[in-house]
Amino acid sequence: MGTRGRARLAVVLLVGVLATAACSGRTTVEFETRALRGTAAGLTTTTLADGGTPSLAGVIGDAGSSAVSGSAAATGATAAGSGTSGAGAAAAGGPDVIKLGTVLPLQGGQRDFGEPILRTTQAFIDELNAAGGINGARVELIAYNACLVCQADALEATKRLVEHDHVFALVNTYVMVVAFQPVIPYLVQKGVPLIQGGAENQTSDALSPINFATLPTGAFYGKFIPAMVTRYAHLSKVAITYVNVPTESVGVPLLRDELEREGVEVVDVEPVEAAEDAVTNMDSIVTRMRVRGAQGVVASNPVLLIYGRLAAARQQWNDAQWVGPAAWSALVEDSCAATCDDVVLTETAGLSFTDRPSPQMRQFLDVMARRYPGGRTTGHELAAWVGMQLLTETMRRSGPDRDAFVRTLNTTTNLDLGTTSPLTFDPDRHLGGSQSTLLRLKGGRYVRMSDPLSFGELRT
Amino acid sequence: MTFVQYAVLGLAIGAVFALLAVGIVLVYRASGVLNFAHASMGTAAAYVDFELLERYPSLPVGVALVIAVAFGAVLGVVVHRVAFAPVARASQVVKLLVSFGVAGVIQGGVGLLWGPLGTPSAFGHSLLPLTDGVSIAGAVVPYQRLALVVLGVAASVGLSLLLARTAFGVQVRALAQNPLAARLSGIDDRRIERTTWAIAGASAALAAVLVVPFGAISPLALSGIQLKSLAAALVGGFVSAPAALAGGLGLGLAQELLVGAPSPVNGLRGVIATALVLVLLLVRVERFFVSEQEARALEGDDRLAVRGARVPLFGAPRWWLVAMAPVALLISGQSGFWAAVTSNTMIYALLGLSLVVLTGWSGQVSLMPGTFAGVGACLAWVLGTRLGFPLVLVLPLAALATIPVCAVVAIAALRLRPLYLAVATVALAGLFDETLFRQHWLANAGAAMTVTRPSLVRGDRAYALLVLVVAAMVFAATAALGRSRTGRALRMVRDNERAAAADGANPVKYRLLAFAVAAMQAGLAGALLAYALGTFSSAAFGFLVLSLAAFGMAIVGGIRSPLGAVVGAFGFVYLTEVFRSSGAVSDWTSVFVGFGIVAVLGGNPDGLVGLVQSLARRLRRDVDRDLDRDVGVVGVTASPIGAVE
Repeated sequence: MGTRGRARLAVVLLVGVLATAACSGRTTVEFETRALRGTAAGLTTTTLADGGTPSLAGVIGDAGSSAVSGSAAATGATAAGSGTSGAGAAAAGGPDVIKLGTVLPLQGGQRDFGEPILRTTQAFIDELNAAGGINGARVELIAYNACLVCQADALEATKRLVEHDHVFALVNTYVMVVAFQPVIPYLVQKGVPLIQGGAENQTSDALSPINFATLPTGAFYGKFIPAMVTRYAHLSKVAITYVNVPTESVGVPLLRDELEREGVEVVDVEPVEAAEDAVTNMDSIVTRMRVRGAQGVVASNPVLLIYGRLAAARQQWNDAQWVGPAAWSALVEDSCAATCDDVVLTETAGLSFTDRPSPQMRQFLDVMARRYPGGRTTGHELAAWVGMQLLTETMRRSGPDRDAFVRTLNTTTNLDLGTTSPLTFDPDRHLGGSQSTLLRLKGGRYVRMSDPLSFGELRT
Repeated sequence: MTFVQYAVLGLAIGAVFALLAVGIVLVYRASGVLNFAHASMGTAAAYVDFELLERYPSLPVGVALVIAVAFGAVLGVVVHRVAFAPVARASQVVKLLVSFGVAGVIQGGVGLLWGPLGTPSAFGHSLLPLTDGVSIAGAVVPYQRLALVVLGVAASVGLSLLLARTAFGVQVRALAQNPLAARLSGIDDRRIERTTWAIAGASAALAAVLVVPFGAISPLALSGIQLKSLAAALVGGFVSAPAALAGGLGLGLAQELLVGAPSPVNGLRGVIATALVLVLLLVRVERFFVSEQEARALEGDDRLAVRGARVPLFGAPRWWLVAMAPVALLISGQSGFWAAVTSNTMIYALLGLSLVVLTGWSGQVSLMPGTFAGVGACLAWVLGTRLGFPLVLVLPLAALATIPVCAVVAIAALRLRPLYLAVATVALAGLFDETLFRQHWLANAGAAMTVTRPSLVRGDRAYALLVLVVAAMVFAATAALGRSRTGRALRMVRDNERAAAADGANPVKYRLLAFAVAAMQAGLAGALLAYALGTFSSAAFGFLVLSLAAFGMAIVGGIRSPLGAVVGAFGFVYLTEVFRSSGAVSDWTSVFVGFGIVAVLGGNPDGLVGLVQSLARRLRRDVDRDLDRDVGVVGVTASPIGAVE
């Protein structure tokens, strides 16, 4: 064979290899974070710390025997009895393996948002598998990277999960608010459920037909934030600050109206340009809010809460209260530390606080402490655990059939997972949370400052 | 709030811009490099400072700062040696693009090395207590900000004196004004450049270490203020350190004063830097600071290519149409998922093609293909969803309607030299993000927009076939354009505007034409991407998300050849998907693309396509030699002529 022939052969082989690699139904590779690689070998079978019998749903290792209140159990039983075959079951990868997928920012600076969620979700699944899986089926998690605003990438990753990896459902993508704009309609079209532990402040009361989250509704937050401002922070004049992106700016007029309806004067509204103002301009923003007479600040975003409070400390504005939803994260605790003591007020986004003496909460804390010694167990991680609890409990009853799974969720009332407020879903309401708990920073760590507050209590 | 309070805060903020701007000026003056990686170099040094203080808590903060600044100096020298020395003779535009590659490598490398920083204190360590400061008219200025002001002033004064009063400064200026004469007179240009890069790296490190404690440390910590630093440097035409200092302080001041202005004037705060950049570029501010001769010397060779008059691979138009058949077969045999990946690859190839026409053939660098694609996508929503036009009308109309937007850029392009055009397009991309993409009538005020594919192409395979037909037609038409008289005129204008004019090719006409064609292609790509996504928002078309990716893709593939756009898109979209499941690969994407840009521009301006072409040419020469030898033997024995040897 001459040189030309060899070159031609090489090109043909190269193209062949690439085409084969691209088109073959390759075995999926389970994504593991660096932390997981180090600790996976040390997994043990889950046991409850006190060996007690759980009275609530959502404990790993208690397959299918939980006492779920209301209609969820009954409907679930029907669904499980009728629907383990069909398209949904086939999509689940057979009876032995249930594949779940997630898409998160796992690269560069945005890893901070994605990795704790991935670690916790994987921890839950490992414990679940060690305890026998869901109805005997092993659970597998496949995670792909996409940046927080990369819509095309997020959609492609999701299509891969659904069409190539054949996952049953997506879980815990709650930080992908912008990137998932094209993904949700796709999941609706394919009928693939998306289950989230709620850690982000979403304002839509009724999510899409397949998207379920444990956060309380927007109506709840409409009352909750003014209540935080007036009854707990005792403020009558506040400034509002938010990140100047459509997903946040759209809610600002509503927040302002609700505050003013409660008799709170909004003296300043400060949009913050995300990448830049937080570094260069926060001192200036804080000074303006102070000079305009604000007694405290409502920050729409956990990160702003930190930047803002730190800038306030630089401006020696230490009597101002900082109020914001869903800022229960290690980032806030570690970064703000004692600087934020007694002046930052936030809430649990519908989750229970970690001091709740439920077996499920103990299990969460034990597992995380064992797998990630020295790691954190704030709302950012707990939400991922809760998302998996909800999925597992529902699937135990529905079986691996997507229609039955969604039907079961849609008829779930007062489901107590032991780690979140009682959850109630119906076809018009996919934000299932009903209560939230107020938190304050003390000694650089959040402490609970109220019992879980329900919508009815706030309305009075 | 009083004027004095605004002024105090403004100056404190402006000091950050100023300190970074002075470093940008120094490098530009010595090397002709407008360094978009300047802030990234500082960020890397800030990470070193952070790491030292996390590992060795007893280490004094000042010592860590000195080590970090020294690291910044070394990083400056390394960056110069590895990335910019190989393109020392290239145009400023090439150096600018290399600096984007360097920024990608540094940001990606920092992400790989340090990863998540959630657990330890992610806010850096301040040299001075941040809660202590001076109260001026009710506004407290922390000592660390005062230190930035003092250092900014000291650095610019020091650098001015260095350039004006020392032998080193004379050598720098001599190199800037007449490099050849300077070298002939014994000036060691490499040493001068090394030294200036070291000083610039150190100043970037100093600025970063001092400013990062005011926010969180992350790989992109300072990228947000890079443009404002450039704007400050531009006040001095990129050559005057004192003017850059004034520019930085003035920009900070203006930004703050605007906040206190009545509405709607205060809305200008978000666009003041971009507006300043555009105005300064249009008035050609550099002429106030340097002689025409020095300005021309700094510009270097304006052509994009470093060297090489090789004819790039256009491909005959018919081959693009013929290529449809196997790709259509491939799509038909693929799963819906891989068909979607294939259609995305073709859409990105179209986006890359717009850069082939504009940059590769016409020599104009626009860093806003993502913006044009965004306009196309938004127009797809306006025409398809709001006005109910069918897809077959939406696609051409979205492409055509992009032209008025591009006209704004094109008119600016006629007045600007290539480097300034590139900077202007960065500013315009930011301006459009802040204005056009927040309009309700065009972009649903930045919220989600939905377009629905007609039932015939609702499936991913059917849609991929549609994209294939559209892409093949556009590529064939572009290939025909490249081979036509118009294409030759475009390249002639790029290579020698005066010669082109003398030959009857009107440079203005051809430059505008290139902009129009490129904008239509990008707009079409955006409209196709909108239909591929279904639901999207303008955030998906931001400068960092799409424009830089498109540029990296086109450069690595080969920016002078339509085939290069396909190769780049295949690597960037298709191969990324092939390797997606092995998560670690994606961590390296930024580093790979960055290295690719640096390597391609430093070594082979025609990218992978050019590389394959030259390898093929070499192979062909070998084969011809073999054949010649064979023929020679045969010829000697069989033919009386036999005169091959």
